[in-house]
Amino acid sequence: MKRGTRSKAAGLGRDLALLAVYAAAFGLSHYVAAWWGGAEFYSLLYPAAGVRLALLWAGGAGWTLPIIAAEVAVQLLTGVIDPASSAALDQLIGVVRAPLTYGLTVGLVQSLVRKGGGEITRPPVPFALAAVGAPLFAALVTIATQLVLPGPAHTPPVGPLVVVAAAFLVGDLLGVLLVTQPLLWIRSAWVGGYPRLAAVPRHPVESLGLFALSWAVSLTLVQAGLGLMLSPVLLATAWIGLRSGTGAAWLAILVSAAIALSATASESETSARLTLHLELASLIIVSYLAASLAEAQRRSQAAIARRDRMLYQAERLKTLRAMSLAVIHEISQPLSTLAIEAKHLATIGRSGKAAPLEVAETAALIERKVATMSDLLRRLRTFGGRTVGNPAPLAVSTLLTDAVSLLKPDVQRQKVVLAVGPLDPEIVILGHEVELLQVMVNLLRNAIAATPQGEIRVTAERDGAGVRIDIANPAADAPDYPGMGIGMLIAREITRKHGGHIVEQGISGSEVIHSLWLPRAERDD
Amino acid sequence: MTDAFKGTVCVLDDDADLSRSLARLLRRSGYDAEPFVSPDDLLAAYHAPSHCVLSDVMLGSTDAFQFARRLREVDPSVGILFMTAWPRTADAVDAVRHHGGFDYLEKPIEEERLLAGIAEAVAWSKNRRAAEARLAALSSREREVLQLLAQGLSNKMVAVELGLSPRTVEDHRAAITAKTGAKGLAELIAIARCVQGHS
Repeated sequence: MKRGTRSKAAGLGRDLALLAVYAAAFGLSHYVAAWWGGAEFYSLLYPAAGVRLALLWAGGAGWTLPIIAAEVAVQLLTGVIDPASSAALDQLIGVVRAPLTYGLTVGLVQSLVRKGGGEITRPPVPFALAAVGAPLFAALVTIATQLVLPGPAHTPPVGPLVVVAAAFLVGDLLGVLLVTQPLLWIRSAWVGGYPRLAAVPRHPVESLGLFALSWAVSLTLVQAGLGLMLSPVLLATAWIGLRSGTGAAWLAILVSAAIALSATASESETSARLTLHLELASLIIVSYLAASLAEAQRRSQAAIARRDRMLYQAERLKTLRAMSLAVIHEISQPLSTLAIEAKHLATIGRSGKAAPLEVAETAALIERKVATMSDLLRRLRTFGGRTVGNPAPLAVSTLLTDAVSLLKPDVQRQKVVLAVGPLDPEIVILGHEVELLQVMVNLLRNAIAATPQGEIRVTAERDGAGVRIDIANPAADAPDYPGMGIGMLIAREITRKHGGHIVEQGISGSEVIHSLWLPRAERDD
Repeated sequence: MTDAFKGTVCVLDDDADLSRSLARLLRRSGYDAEPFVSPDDLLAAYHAPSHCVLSDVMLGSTDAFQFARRLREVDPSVGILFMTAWPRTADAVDAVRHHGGFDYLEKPIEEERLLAGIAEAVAWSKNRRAAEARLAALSSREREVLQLLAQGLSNKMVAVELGLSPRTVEDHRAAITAKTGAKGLAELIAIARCVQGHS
């Protein structure tokens, strides 16, 4: 109980400290913005908005009221709100409006995410929604309140009001887009949760080259008297996002923003500045989306690769199961005979009425069975030994015979006939025995599963520099058998790694033929 | 060493050594046992009906259950036991429920269980053969009547079922009792039921 109270108190202390840091950061960025925005704060880059959204996004909509309190405190200190003035209420509404609308937007987006389902709840869409939605909502509310509550301080007519709101929107948008993302990255370096940045972006030379080229094109257009156009840079940063990820995209965006914003400082006409800054905002949004998309795709590709490895493992287990089945069958046969004969020997030994001929015959039988089992064990041992290490020369005839013997139970269950044509023991390939055995087993198992009845023919013959193994099974009218085709996928992958390929020769007459081609091992004759 | 003759058994396994070993074991236990390695050989040599067939489940290219069906067509009164090196629940259920197997033995084979299963199958087969012998003289109509009586129907119900008069049914019943030498309805039903099971 005490501990709970103490940790609660510690949590409160941490929150207050964070709020103090926020107030300082807000005040500082607000103050910095005054350099290019003027005292009215209808700037074209308002970094304080980015600081605000970062805290709301990381901490949740519950931070709305503390943030409002902090911002009001800061503005009281800076004199933006003058309690003595007759416009104090108007000033207060002006200050409260933005954090309130931001908090509402973040709360709405995060509740959407909590409900789940649909594409818009998957990253990066929720953050993008909040980053664009919050400034837009704030701008709309600004217009609405200015129209409803005309205060004495700044009550421009409707036309200029829209311009002011647009400038306000673009300023907040740029502030959010440029500042929030790096703040969230810094936070994730501490606590995790938000995707971390890659230390070195991919394709640095390509990205740098393309970025420089796009700015060269834009500046050439300026030289030609066409004014600053950001479209070439937009294409370049979007490409950088796609190829090199969010970090590289952000760097490119930051440099682009610095160039574009300094270039517009001299621009006196509001509409030109507004257009350019809107273009800059589009550039940032498009680049971020491209980068996030590429990163999401990379993540899902990694997940697919992981799943592929698991399936591969599962397939191996299936083959191991078939192997253990064959081994158990082969061992339990002689063991049954041994058990009966040994017990009999013991019985006649005890009775003392053993006929010498009977004893000799039984002993010979036991000897024969022991030899069979020893042979089996020796075969298994070499089999196990060859599973690891370098590829070894393997006779195709042995591989096929082993695969067929592994599949004996399947053949019997399915009531098909597996007819293996004459095999030349001289045909040798180089590879990993277990993997190639798996290929044969998978192909044969598919053929068995696809054959309702009849004969599966297997042939192997030299074909150019390799060997071609044909597995022909009668074509079923409606191929209907369980499985997801993973066996075939894995067989293809292993074959590819061994420098071969598998072709389905379609239906030739009433048969389906799968041809496996593998390079032959050169033999020193 | 050899007990009194207990019955005839055919042993079927594609491993000739195991098949012979099992046959020798059964001979030592008092059965007249014969080893076979293929179902076709067994069916070709199956002239005098056996009491029991002990068959492996994995028989080269033939399915043991298919073989069991063929065998039952030839001789519905033979008891069958299955043995396998790879026991599977589905097979075990099929062996007993659909193919009338007396047991489903796992290899390596437990001798006591094998002998108990063989004894049970042989006893059943003997009973059934005896019942068949007693019913052999019945006409087809009499067999129908007996079948319905064994199901628990009264004379009147049998008459309705077969479209006969109760009087005729009573005549048939008297003839059945005379031909089989049964001492009453209970024994008649017991004989009839002997022939119905495991086919």
